[in-house]
Amino acid sequence: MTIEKKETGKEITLKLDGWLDAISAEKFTEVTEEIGEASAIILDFEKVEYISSAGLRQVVTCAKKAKDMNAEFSIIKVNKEVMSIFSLTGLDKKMSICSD
Amino acid sequence: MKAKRQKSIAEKAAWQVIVVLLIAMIITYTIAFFVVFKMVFSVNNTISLTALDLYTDYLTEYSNNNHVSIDKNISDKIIQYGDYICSKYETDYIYLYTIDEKSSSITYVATSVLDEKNEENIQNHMIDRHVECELYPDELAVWHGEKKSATITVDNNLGHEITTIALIRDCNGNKIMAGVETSYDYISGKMIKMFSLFALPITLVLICIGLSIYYFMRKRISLPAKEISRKMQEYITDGKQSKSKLVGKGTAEFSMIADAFNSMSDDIKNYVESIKRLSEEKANRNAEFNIAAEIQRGFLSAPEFENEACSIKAMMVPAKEIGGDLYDYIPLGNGRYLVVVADVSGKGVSAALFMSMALTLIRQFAKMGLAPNEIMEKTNNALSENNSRMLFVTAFIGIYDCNDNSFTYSNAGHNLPYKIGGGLKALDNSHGVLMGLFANEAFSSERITLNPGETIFLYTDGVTETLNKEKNFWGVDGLEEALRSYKPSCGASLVEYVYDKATEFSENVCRHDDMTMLSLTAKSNVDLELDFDIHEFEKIKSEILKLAVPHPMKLNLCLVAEEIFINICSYAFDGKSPENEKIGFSLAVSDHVEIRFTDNGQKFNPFDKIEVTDYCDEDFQVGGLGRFLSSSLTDDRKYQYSDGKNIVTLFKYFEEENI
Repeated sequence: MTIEKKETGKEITLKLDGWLDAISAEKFTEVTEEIGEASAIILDFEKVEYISSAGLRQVVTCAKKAKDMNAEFSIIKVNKEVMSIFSLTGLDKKMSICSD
Repeated sequence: MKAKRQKSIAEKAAWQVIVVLLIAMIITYTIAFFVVFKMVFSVNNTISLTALDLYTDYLTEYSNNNHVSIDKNISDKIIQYGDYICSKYETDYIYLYTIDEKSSSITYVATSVLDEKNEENIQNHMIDRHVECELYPDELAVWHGEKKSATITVDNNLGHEITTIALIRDCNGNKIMAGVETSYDYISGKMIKMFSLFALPITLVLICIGLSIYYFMRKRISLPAKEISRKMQEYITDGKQSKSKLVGKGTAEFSMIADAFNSMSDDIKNYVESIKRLSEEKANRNAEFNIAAEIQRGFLSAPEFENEACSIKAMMVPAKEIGGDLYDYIPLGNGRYLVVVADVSGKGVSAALFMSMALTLIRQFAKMGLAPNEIMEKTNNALSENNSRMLFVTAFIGIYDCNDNSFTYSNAGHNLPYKIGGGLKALDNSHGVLMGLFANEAFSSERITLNPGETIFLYTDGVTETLNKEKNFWGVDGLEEALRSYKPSCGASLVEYVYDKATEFSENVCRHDDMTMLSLTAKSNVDLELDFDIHEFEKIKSEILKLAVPHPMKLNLCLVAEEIFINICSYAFDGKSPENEKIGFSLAVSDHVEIRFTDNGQKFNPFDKIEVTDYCDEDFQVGGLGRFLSSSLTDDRKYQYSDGKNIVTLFKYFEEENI
């Protein structure tokens, strides 16, 4: 998995590419931990076609971090398959997740 | 309940004749009785009236002599004449008298009697005897000339008498009464005499007539009728024919009935014998048919076959005892499997024999390692050689090769089979002509990919030509709908499911054609031994991605496998990675996907106590999420702990959205 980090002022966009499984979740964790300060964290899921519970857990960790620093948190461009996993776990009701 | 005894026809007829004759006799006698009375009255009347002239002379003489001293000659003459009349008309007593109304008395002038006995009785009534007596009103009426004559009943010393009186007048106006008496005893005597002379013989004759009619009817009608009914009864109750023939005694009608009965009874005997013979023949024939049907079924392979490469299920429902349908499958070796379904024209023994020949030929050529179209060509040539009855067979032959997941087929005028998996597709290429009629015909063959999890469904027209009560065919549409709606999770195999749907449609209407189906499902199986390392998931992922199943299903399968695999890595040995331990992974695809993990770690059932909802509280604390996902995204799960091993099995069926 590759993660492209884009900072626009205080707004950080992480563009993920690949499978967000147990193996790649570690890398994602590293990237999230690097985030120092932000007013908004946006996860771009356009290239994410797979997410497992390990990936979900890292998304939740990231969301928690955003909450702690009072930053806005949102996931965008979520495809159908991944969205169904968010819905299944009820996470789509806890955070801002949209398919575009 | 026994019926009331009824009189025989002879008794009835005799009784009726006797009753009718008796009534006639009574009527005749009554009429006769009145005739006798009338006769007596009229005789009396005649005598008294005809006597008038005769006595007129005597009256003059009598009056002139002042009622006394009549010439003895005249008197005797009168009496003699009276006697003559009495004897002639059998009248008791003729007398002449005058009436004195004042003294209420009569004076006899002359009397004549019938016989000596009466003469004695009436001697006191001789001439000039004066008798005081009661005068009858009718008598006075006659005396006064108001009536010409009268008949009165009197009782006197002669007994109960009928007297007819008349007035006699002469030219001088003198008058005298003339009376004629006949006794009731005489009348009854006469009646008795008449009865004894006529009535008794007539009655006897009547009785004789009645008896002879009874005897005649009994002999000619009752007894023959009884004999016939007895014979018939015997026939009915014993159920067998009496040895002696029925003889038609009595009248011609009974002879006819007896003849008819005898011939009917002979006919029945013959019919019964011929029916017996026929049913024996039929039973024998049925037994032979059943043996033939059994032999035919014996030709067919077992309805189920399964190994690691494929799963085959077949079903044949014959309409009659013997049909012309066939199915077969042959493992050709080297991972190649031949399947065939064929339908011989017609039904019965000829179809079955032709089918056996076709089956033998197909098997023969298949085992030579020929391609489906070559098998078709050779079989067609062999069948066409000696086919005087011009029977033909439609067939579909296919060979599945599990080495390259290919399915090569050739079709000889048979119904188009279906490929199920990635949608429902009719195998409509390579449609050739039917076999058995045209020799040297070329057949083409077609090759398609048949991935593990995909199924080929073959059938005969008996399936689509299933009729319902409204005489509608189930048709290709009905079959396709059934194939689309099939879910392996329902527990029945595809052929069983289609059969159930067809039966449901037919509403138990009798099947008129054989119904044959065969399904071949390609299978695959991968077994891996993995280390307790989450990076080993890449191997699992790569195997799952190789599957010929829809991409979203692959993603789901990966997710499910990952969750269970990570779970085992994390907890089986408390997160440690024992070097000598391995995790067993198996991925099997047939009509469903089966994932199995085996490990020697501590006993743990991943599907225990999974809370289905709310995995994420306000602080985003998540736990058991992986187990929840793997549970949610599979159709069935099994956990087993045996021989110190955790065995977790997950099932995913191909549902419509996956096809």
